[in-house]
Amino acid sequence: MTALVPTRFLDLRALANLEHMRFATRQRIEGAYSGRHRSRQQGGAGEFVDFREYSAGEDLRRLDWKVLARTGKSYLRLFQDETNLYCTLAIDSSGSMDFGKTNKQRGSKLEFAQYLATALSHIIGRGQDQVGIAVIRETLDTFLPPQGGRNHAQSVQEILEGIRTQPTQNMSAALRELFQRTTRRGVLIFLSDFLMEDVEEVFAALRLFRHRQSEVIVLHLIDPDEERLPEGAAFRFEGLEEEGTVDCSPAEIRAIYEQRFDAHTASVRTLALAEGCDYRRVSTGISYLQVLGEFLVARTG
Amino acid sequence: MFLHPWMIGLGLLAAALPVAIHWLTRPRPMRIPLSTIRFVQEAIAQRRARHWLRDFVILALRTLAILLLAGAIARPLWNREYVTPQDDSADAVRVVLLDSSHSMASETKGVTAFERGRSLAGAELEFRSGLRSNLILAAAQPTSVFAVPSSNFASLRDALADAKALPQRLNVQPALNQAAVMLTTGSKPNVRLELVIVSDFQRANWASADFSVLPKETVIRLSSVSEAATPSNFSINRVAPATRLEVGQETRLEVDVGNYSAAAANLRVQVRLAESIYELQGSCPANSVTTLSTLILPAIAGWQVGEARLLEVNDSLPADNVRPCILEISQPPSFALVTRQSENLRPSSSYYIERALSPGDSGEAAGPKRLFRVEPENLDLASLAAADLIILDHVGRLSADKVTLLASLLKRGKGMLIMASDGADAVNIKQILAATPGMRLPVEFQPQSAAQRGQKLTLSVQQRGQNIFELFGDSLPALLGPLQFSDALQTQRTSGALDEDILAAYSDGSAFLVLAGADTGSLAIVNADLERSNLPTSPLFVPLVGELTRQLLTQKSDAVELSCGESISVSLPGDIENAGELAISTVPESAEPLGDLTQEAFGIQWRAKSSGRPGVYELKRAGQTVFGAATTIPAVESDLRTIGADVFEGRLAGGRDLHFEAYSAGSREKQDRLWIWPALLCLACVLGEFAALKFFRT
Repeated sequence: MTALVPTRFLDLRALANLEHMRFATRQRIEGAYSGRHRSRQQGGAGEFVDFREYSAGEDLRRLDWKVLARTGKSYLRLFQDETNLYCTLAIDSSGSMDFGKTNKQRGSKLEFAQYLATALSHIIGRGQDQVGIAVIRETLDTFLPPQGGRNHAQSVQEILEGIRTQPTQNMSAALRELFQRTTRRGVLIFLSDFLMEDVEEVFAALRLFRHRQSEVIVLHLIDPDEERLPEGAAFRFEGLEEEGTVDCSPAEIRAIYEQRFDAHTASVRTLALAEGCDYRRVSTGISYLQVLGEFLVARTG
Repeated sequence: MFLHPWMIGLGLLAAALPVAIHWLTRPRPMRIPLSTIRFVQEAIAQRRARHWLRDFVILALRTLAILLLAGAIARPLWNREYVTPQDDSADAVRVVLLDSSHSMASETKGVTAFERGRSLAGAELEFRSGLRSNLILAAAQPTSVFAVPSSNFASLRDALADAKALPQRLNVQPALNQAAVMLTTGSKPNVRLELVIVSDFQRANWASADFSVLPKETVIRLSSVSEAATPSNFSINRVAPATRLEVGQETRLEVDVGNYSAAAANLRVQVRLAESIYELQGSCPANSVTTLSTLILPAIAGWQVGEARLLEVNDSLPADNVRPCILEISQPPSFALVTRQSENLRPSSSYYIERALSPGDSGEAAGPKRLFRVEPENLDLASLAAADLIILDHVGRLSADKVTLLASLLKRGKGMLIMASDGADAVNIKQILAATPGMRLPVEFQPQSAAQRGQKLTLSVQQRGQNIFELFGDSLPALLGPLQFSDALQTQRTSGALDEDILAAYSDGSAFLVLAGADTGSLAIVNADLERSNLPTSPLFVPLVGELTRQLLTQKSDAVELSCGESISVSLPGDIENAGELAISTVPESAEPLGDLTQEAFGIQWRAKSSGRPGVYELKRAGQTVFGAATTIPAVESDLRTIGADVFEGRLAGGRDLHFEAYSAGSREKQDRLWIWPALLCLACVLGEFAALKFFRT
């Protein structure tokens, strides 16, 4: 057995404080194996939760014989099955995710996503859950379906480490492909800045996951420098998605820009909530550990 | 047209300045990657609609402001219709005639017409290859810079810069003649002839201009410097006594005041005469000359220098508000009665005249005699020197030298009364008139025919309101009724004579009394033999003779008025002799030539090429003034009304290619002030820019 080598995005020492936390789902899920998460199945091996009147044809093994003997009425004993998590991490690797790369202190949005996704994969893996990775571009670039095991988690983290950005205008096709290649209900965590042109189509694709009763968590990555334009007389802004360059004086458009950006983030949030997604606005100005901790706490409820 | 066209080029360069400044001061952009460039583009697109409008408006206003400023400095002269030569490259002879008469000194809005004219003339004296020019300064006498047109434009412009308006009238025709000579001299095949006249084109001066003296092919350009509205002007046109000034005799001093404005004015005039000051006041109608008068009582005989001055007036031509004068205060007049009749022959024609003119000169009266008799044979200059008036009565046929003497005295200002009664008188009159150029009678006297001898004649008076019979008023018919005459000379009207020149006529149509004036003296002829008439016994006789002599003495005035700048040629009164003892001086003193005095056959002639500035000439002998002349600005220069373009182009052009550029029609003053509009628009653009900035910021 070979020793596992952590990637540069996996800081086990930093994650030590979060070792006791587990990623929890908000709805019942389907899993291949028994686990900590509530299953959509209510079998006879889990924790007793309730009684229900017996109907003809139901499994007589779950009939509560003692109650029948005492009252003469037939009731079934209901138990909540627990299963493991089937989680897919979808990472936006469009060009815009490179924003902030020149900021030595903070790094790019992609790096933030890589740190966060790596930590999540680690925590999910430690919880005996299955985790997979999908790199989203114009098409589905890389997809590693969720599986359990340390080796698989290592593979996920290696894929995360190897993600490179690429100019991408549309992502809905890649998400639809992901949907088609995902055959089970589970959790989809989509980390993106949503600076694509087909935002509505992207959420239409996410709606497909929701229709399948999968839980979709949207982590909207925002660099603080995106929220407001830099101070200065004149800048030549270069697009990261091959949009060319724009010369302007930020002072002249600052207000309009901020209005536009706020409208965009509000639009993304509205679309996400409308589709029943769990939306979280994540500022890359905050440490990914803090974000992760708050996220896990919030998920635990 | 622009006064400074180079400023337009400079303005165009300056107009590019805002763009250049914008480009040069534009911040150098810092390259920075941005994921949200889409929002930047959208923000710019949203902003562009608003800010592009703002930028365009501001840049347009700023550029326009600079262009307008340049336009204002360039001094636009739009609608100024220059008659530009068709071919500037062709050889040309150009004569520029600049009016430098007194009226050109009229000032409007702080600028004289002459200064305006100087700039216009200067524009015509710019160097151009193939062009030869000359400058004529036209006033009383034209003065040209060169004898012939020259290409020495520097000297022409220097002469133009030194030129100034003179207190002289404009003699148009000599200047045109001089220009014609220059143009004719320079006339060659394929050489264009141009005459540029810069003047105020006063009506009085230019109405008789004759351009036909110029070569046919001459292109005449008249460039007016006159305002559209004639500026107001007041002037003193004449200072003179109404009658002869005599010691102890109260006389009316008259001052002609010109009101050349659109409204009537109440004018005050102060007259200083030696130590005395008189003040006259009166209402003067618009555009007319009014005679103001006051009574003066001279106390001392002699020449008195003075001036008349308009008080409290503000007009465009102040120099003519003062007029110098010199007046002679005479002793009571003396008469020379030239007759063959004996002093003792009574009654006789000469006796009646003597009694009428000098009733106090009877044998027993003391004091100097006012009338002395002279035999025609003894007639000479010395015998007549002391007389103010010469009366010829029954003189017989005069010899040629006597006629010449009398004619010369008449020319030198003596008054003369001829009592014509026979054929010899008719011949004498004819000869005297022939020897006196410029003197004309309305009739020609002829001896009576035999058929008319003894015919009784009665008298009728022409034009009662305007002749010497006016003093008899309504009693005149009653006085004329009993009068009877016979054997009067026949008269025949001369060509061009008017009825009003014959003051009284007989019933057969012959003239009874006629007056004729010469340059200085005057002549009256009474066609009557007093011995064959009851006129001497009529109450009309003495007053009539008195009024007649008074009028003759009034017209005879030793003092003369000279127009500034014009040549002096004055025949001194006959009683002034020995030219060598005379000295000429001026008040105020002047360095200009005073002229020469030459002794001629019948007196002294004073000649000078031109008279000087307004003032007084005094001819003195041993410090005593014996003759005086005032040099004055011609009154015609005070009337600033101008002549219209249609008159030039229609009546005066003489078939020449004439173009009139009216100062008022082109609204040159307006044009000169057109710079105000671009300046105001420039200011509006600047204010508009501020408003646009404020508006778009809010």
